[in-house]
Amino acid sequence: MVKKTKYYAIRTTTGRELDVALVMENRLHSFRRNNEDLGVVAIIIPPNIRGYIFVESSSLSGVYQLMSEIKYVKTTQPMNVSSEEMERIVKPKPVIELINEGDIVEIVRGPFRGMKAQVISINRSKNSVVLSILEASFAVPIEVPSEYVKPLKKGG
Amino acid sequence: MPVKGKVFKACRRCRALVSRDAIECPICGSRDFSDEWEGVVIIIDPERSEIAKMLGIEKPGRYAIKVA
Repeated sequence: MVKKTKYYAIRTTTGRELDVALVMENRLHSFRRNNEDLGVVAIIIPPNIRGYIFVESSSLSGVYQLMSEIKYVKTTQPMNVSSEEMERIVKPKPVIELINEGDIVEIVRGPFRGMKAQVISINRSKNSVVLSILEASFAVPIEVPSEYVKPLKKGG
Repeated sequence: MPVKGKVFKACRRCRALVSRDAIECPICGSRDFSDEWEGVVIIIDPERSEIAKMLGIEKPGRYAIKVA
């Protein structure tokens, strides 16, 4: 019977996630060459989460063995992460599905970055939103790609 | 995780990460690559990995999670 896998979070030095993952990958390949199986089947570095990497494994002891004595690993104990949480991290819902007209959003990219705005309309076919910037002294609707905004507050 | 000074580029078709000097993707054979990618998933055993199934990955290797 195939043992079910679980996810574990491992804290690393920020910015060194890929280095840690590549060292782990090398270790896993050398274990495999010696016909040893640690139970680790995947290593994940999610976008937008800094300072953590995730390991999918059927054995916790395998994870301990894998992460031991790696320079940039900052934790001695991996944390358990549910598969629902992992799915949410790896396959985030597109922003356009999370916002509605009237919601308050923050603009996170482009020339208006850092400003708060209200959603006037949503264009799903173009994957863009029309916003009215709250800080502007007069209302000028601007159209930005949906990836440029982050939902802040639901509109009434 | 945005990787600074990216050492890999991502295949636009299958999202495989390859070295910067690669001409052809070793997984799908495509020549269409992108530098705009985020997140990494390293698949060791695609048959036992749930995340590989979730992302539709069938071959072991390094893949980007998001490719622009």
